[in-house]
Amino acid sequence: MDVLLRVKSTGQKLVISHNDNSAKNESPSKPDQADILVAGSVAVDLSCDYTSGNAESSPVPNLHTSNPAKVSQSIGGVGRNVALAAHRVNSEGKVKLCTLIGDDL
Amino acid sequence: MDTSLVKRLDIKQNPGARTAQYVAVNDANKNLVMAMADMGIFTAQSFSAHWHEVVSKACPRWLVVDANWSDVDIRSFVRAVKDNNNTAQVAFEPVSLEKSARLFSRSKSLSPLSVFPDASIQLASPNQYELKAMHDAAQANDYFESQKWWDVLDAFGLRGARDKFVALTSAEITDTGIPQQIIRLLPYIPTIVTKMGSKGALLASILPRDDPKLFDAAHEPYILSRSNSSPDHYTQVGGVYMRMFPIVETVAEQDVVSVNGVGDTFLGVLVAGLAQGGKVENLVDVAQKGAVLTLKSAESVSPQLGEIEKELRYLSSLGSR
Repeated sequence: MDVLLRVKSTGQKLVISHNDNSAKNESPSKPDQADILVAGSVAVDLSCDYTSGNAESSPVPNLHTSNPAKVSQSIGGVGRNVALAAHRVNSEGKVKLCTLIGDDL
Repeated sequence: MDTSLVKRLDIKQNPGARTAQYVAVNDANKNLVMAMADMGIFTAQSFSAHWHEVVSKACPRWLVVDANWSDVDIRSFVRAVKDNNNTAQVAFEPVSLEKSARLFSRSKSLSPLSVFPDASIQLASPNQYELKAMHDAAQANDYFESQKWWDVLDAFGLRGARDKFVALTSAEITDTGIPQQIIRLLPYIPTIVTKMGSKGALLASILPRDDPKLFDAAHEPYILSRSNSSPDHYTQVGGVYMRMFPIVETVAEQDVVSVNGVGDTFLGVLVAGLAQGGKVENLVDVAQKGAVLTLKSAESVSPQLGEIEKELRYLSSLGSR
């Protein structure tokens, strides 16, 4: 959960009230300017891989019942992925992700 | 990555706002069987004024907008660039078949999308299906009825284009209508990179009258057409560039770990190069390399993208050859 954990670890204030339109960035060392601004989704991804014994003959999970699976959780979302890729491929560039999350994490 | 613009919605003011969730069910070979996407948080309400301020403050070279937002908010981001006299270039990521149509909204109350040479959007990277969905939405909602759109299309100088399409792509691709759909969308999105899976990527862009590629023998094979309009015609169209980039690597089935995030990585690398001043035709292959790294990775963005950082920097430093 890199995006959100990193935010928590910096102690950055994320809660911005609805009426307050200024994005509060508490760190004075970070100017507001960015090379790339990505406005898009961030999502909690659940990936359920069907783990049947015979991947050759019947690879597709069955409908109307429960299936054995390997379920893994990660952070995704199109905007987040684009931003992270742009960030990882240019360590000197400044990439900002503009997105929304709920109060449920 | 800077996450200071991750906005957490207050539960009291936004009851029921859930962080987006995506559940994918894959078969035993890791092919997607079905996915359910709860992206309701991005469309439940509009924050137009806030986006305006965000864009104004960040003053980016490139702004990437994905189609998870409502049509109103997508247009707000685009509009914010113009209102701030911002020089930012805008890229649109279509996300899915259904959502890709949101750019060409039916609503007449939104600020209009403008066409080349002052196009509101500079770049989009749909797959072939999203391309068709965007084209069909633009057609159904009268975006191809505007005089300015027609003026640009007319300035392309396309005559008997089918043979050229076949030569630059293939008969098979031409018969699907992909090049024709691209041409009609170009006035609104002057650079379109269509992701075509195992066939690679098809780049198409409008060349301004002074673009060096128009006068360079190395690029001659990819000049689809040259404008025959008068040099002082307001559209300033010089021609149309169309170039097929085959896949950079065939990935064996057992090496495919997860297709999740492959297209997103492609766009991320492409925009990272463009933001460093690169030319799109020099960047498509390295963006495909990035996508392949993610294809071989369990994560939705490969942690090994740093391996192509130097190559990207070099390619971005090349001018139009």
